[in-house]
Amino acid sequence: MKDLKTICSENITALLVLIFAVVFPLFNSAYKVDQFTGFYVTCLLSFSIILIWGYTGIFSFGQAAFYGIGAYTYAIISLCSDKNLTVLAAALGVAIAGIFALILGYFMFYGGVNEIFTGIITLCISIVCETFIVQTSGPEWQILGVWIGGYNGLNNIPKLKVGNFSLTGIPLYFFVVAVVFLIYFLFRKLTHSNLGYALFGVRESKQRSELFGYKTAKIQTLAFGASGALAGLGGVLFSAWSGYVVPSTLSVDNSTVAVVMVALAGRKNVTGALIMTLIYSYFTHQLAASGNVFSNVILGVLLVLIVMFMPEGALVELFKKVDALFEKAIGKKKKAA
Amino acid sequence: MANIETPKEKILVLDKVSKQFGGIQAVEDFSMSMDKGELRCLIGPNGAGKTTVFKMVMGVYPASSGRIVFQGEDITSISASKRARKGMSIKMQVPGVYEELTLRENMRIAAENYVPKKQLSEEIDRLIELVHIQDLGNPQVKNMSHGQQQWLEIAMALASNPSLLLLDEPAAGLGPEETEFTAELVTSLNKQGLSILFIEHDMNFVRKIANQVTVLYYGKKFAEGSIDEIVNDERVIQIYLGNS
Repeated sequence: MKDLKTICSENITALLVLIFAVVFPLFNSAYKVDQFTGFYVTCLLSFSIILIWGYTGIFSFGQAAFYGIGAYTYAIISLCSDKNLTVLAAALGVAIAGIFALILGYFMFYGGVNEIFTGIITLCISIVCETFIVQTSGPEWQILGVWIGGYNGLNNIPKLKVGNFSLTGIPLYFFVVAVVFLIYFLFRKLTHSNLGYALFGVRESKQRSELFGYKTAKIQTLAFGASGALAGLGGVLFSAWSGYVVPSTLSVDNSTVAVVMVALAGRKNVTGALIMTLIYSYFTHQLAASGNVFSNVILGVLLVLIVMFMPEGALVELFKKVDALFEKAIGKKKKAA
Repeated sequence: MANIETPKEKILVLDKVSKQFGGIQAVEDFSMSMDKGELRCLIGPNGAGKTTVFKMVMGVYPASSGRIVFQGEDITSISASKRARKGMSIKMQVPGVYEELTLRENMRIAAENYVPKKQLSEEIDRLIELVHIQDLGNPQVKNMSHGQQQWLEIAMALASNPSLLLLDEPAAGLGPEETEFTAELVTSLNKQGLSILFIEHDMNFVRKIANQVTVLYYGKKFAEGSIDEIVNDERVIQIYLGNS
């Protein structure tokens, strides 16, 4: 009975999502598997928001910029040579996005920029990056001989290739799922680690943490860098999966949708973010496929309702309610015994 | 800048410390020193600059001028986190606890920089017991009473095993029994060798525990001495305690 009590609905849900992810290709068409690969890639963007906003308390609208930097870097490096440079391109995509975030974070957090302005600065970064890419349609905008392409973006981006093995279809699906769940479990481990508590302390009160001896600017900068790298990894996998990248990949819209998905689920809960991203991505896709253009309106209304009635997030509230019911049931059984 | 003596037995020396906020002079040329193991109270009317002095000592506010020496080392220009790691700790005026987190999570954040991971749980238990909140279980801090939050914050401040503890109004908002316990706790910590500097408005609390008292008035040192000297000082009675 004691063991049963330690099982919480969040863990059970996570296990079910993992089982769902593993068996999914067995019962679905290649098209659906490919579609869900994209949804899992989006989870990495949500995870990057969980790390920086949910765990560290820094509101960022710039995650799509890092996602786009990862995507463009992978595209440019992998297209610049006839040789297979995709693994190098992936590593550089993650590294460059991370370094860019680290440098930006250094100036923001060591410069004492407060939370509201962090949101505004990161919003501007997304706009600047998108605007910059949009104006690269001229032939002079080439990096390593690859024409960036302005609005048209880059196409025919090579799939990730390890040796002679090209990751497409089901292997790519399982690769992405493995990456997503590996990072998910790292998040869960982080929650109970010293580093995790250091992040939570900074999130709850930066000044108090400083007075407990934490170097808060350093913690915030490193967390921002790591969240940039994580978003960059999402961008790399997006590029490798879709085979194209366009300026809207870096857009504020992309950041906003991810922020909203995380807020809907509960910004401090990585399981919620994982599930909400999958559900939202799926329904958006279904709505778009059916010709419905109101997916963002629906998302907006949902956000307003959830912020008003479930400020901790819909899935977090759901986990709590189920846990409470579960505990009540166990209590009743004990009493009866 | 005057060259002052900073003997090793002095835990804290403030040498002509000033703080300006725009055109407002919150603290002006304030000097004070504390011996190791001393229990000193800083009193003064509202707005006298007591909390500003605390925040300058902890590094939350940089001093506009003057020097702060802790255990013989000039710490005037080092960051708050470095000062904390050098052995000073604070309980703030408004409980500086992490309200959204649980009691033990709060303790863990406070302790993990100073206590080896293997001993963390044991040390947290010891500190929670020390401030008599062990029977609460592990509630979310926002559900704890004001007094319990005050004690939790003292336990958190003690987690770094500090040499100097600053307590900003430890008895504020407490009932008589809670104040009694807080007085016992502070006295007992001091008897164990901990140097304590505290701010308090409750003069009964101050009378009960303080050895030395410094009076601050309009940002300047107004008087200093033993508790008996201060409560019998006509000028202090006039400005702070009132004629009654």
